[in-house]
Amino acid sequence: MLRLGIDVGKQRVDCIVMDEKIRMFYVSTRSVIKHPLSGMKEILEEMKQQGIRLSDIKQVIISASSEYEEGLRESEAVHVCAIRIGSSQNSLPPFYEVTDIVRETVQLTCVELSGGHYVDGSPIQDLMMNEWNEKMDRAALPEHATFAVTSAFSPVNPEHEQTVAQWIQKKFGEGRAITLSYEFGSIGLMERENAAILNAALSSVIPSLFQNVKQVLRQYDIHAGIFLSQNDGFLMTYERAISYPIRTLHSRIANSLRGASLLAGREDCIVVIVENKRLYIGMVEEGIPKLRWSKRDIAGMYMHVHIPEVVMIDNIIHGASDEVLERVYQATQRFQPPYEPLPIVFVGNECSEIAGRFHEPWAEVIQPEYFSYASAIGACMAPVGGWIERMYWLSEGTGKTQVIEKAAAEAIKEAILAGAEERSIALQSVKVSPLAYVPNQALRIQVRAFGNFA
Amino acid sequence: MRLLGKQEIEDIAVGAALLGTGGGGDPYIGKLMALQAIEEFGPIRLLSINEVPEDALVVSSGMMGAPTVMVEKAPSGQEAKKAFKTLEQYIGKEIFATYPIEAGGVNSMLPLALAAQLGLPVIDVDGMGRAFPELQMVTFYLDGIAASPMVIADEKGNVNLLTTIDNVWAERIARAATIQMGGSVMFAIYPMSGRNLKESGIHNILQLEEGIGRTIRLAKEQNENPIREVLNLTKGFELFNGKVVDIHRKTETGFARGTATLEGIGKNKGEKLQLRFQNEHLIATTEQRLLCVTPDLIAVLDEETGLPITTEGLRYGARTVVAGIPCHPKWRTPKGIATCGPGYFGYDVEYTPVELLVKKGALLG
Repeated sequence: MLRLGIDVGKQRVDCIVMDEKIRMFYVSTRSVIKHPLSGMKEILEEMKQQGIRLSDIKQVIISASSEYEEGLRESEAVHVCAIRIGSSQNSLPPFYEVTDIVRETVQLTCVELSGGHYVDGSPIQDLMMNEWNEKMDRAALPEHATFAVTSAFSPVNPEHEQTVAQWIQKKFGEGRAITLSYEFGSIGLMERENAAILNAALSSVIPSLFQNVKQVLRQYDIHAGIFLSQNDGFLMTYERAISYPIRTLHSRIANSLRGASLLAGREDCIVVIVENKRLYIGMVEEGIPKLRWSKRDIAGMYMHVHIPEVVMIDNIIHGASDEVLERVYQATQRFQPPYEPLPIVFVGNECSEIAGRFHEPWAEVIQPEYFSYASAIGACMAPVGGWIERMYWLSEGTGKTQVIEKAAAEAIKEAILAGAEERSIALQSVKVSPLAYVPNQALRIQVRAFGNFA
Repeated sequence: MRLLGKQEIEDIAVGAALLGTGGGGDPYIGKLMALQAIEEFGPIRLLSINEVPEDALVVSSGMMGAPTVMVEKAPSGQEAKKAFKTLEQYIGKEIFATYPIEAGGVNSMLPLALAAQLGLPVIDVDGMGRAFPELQMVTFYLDGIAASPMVIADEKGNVNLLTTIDNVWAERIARAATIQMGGSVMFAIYPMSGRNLKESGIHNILQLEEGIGRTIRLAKEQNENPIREVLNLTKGFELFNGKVVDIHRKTETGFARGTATLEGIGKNKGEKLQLRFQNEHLIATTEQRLLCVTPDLIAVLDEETGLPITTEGLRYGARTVVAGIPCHPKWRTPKGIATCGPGYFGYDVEYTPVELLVKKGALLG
């Protein structure tokens, strides 16, 4: 049983073949010339010549930190119909603050519908079928339009988004890509809406990026499940990923952290990644990269993404100067626990010089073999996972314990949809937080679930 | 009069977050609304208090309730328009200008957006000089100025006009109504004369917020220490340099209450700081001594960027500088301390000005 890992970076593509014990059978690096996956055939040919039985490959894992803007620019016609369901009209428009490139590439039709929910999940107003029909007829959407549906307080009650999704299918056929904002979790209508629109735009682009991969694999007798890396470093099936492309844009750091921990054989460690004249310092706890919710600027807009907590040191022109070493030391201290310092693992294709000069009197410093393939290796060894963020309104009969159980069940469902085997699923990081400034019964719950390949 | 453009708005948002002392809500949506209003209606007119006629009617605008709910409702400005109209009709006088009720978070930004939409100027005065959680925690209250008649309005079109016997009742009734109206409302409150605002308000507060934002931005551009520059500007003190090692958030009451423990680094190595918050940071103590307590301001800043960290954003491992900034002298009167000092928030500590605490610490050390 082998795994093929394809790690698509900005400048180069790393390819590896390994087994689940991290024994490496093939490694290669190519610079990206045209399409990142254009060299696939050559690579597979080379593997065959080296005597690798390609039919033994059972999983293909693709991690693409490719640029969304590239993908959008290359495609010709991207049209998103943004449907906003709520009670207030004429407030901030969707895609406010988006970068010019994305604004120019993505045609946007905005439709406002009455409806949505209150913070306690009760409806503000029912959806109206006649309003829907009237407004959609007037919108005159092109054939290739995809949909992004955002409803007020959908993380508490997604009913109206789901109903509109059914209406879209009825009116425009089953084949249309539909993104529902509640699946992106975070509170903040506009952030969720922007994420949904960007996702809807990418979902009409991504399938063509990977179109040929399946075909080429089949030519070489590889009948494997294809998985994509998510931003948090967990995997999901290709079939699921094409509906959530926005979740797969920033996986490289998480993969490198996991890869470093595996290569060094240290479940808990601090990792220094050095590549493209940049340093990223992060942490792995019990084999899992330490993550945080952060507001990231994606295409000019702030969005909530679950990505590793890292300190970035930019623009290292002078390599391992004393100043750089001091900054690396200070950054590692951010993660070091007060007693018994954790080992520090260096990975990334440019790490050798800094790792060689880095001295820490109390902590072990490791530069493992295959350090420049940490990202591809980490992706190959990642579990399959899913997460949810929901808001619940506590009432009599619905206590904290019940809603946590409910959220956990939903996260497990997500993990199964992502391709995890049900019996292997474990839960990680249940986070519960209240709302500020109103004495109320609202709880935000975030849960992640993950397991082995089904 | 000055005109505020986009850069000024960006700077004010950073300053608002710092004076928000960890609370006040994320200024982000307010900032976007202000930026969009500028695009649509042109720059915002900012008046100094001396440009306001003594008998002019001025009214504060902003939001009440959970900022988290507000960002979900996506307010449009219609709510505030209605609130202002209703108040004008009741009082029988035209509103001359609006002003922020507090310095901090979302309510620093909303009056700017609303002013642009309503075509009114904004006055460079507020009622707190920082952020506080309740409507009566304003310097106007100390001078006996009534919060009502006040109006709260929601996005559905509901408008409530309240006249109350005092400001604590205004807070109680409005808070209860806010929950019924879906958890967040827009308000028009503390209508008063230009003379009253001048005597009772805290002057040049937006100018200070903008200065803080600009100082942090320029210090970063010029590779200088943003925290030192900001403390110079605000006459504040660096109280503690530490790393967050523990956070406890209590969820039972629904308020964002909690305690963060910071372990000293650098000159504070070996010490521990306890930071207690209820929406805002309210009290900072080490094992030996009190460092700063409300109504003085406690700001937690990211050691690297100098940017303020909210109570929600506090995370394990964050390396921070905890700064103490003296509050406006009006808060240091007996009534001021009774209104929003440690006793009101349930802490059994006597209020001592931060500069005295810093001096005492220096004597002991």
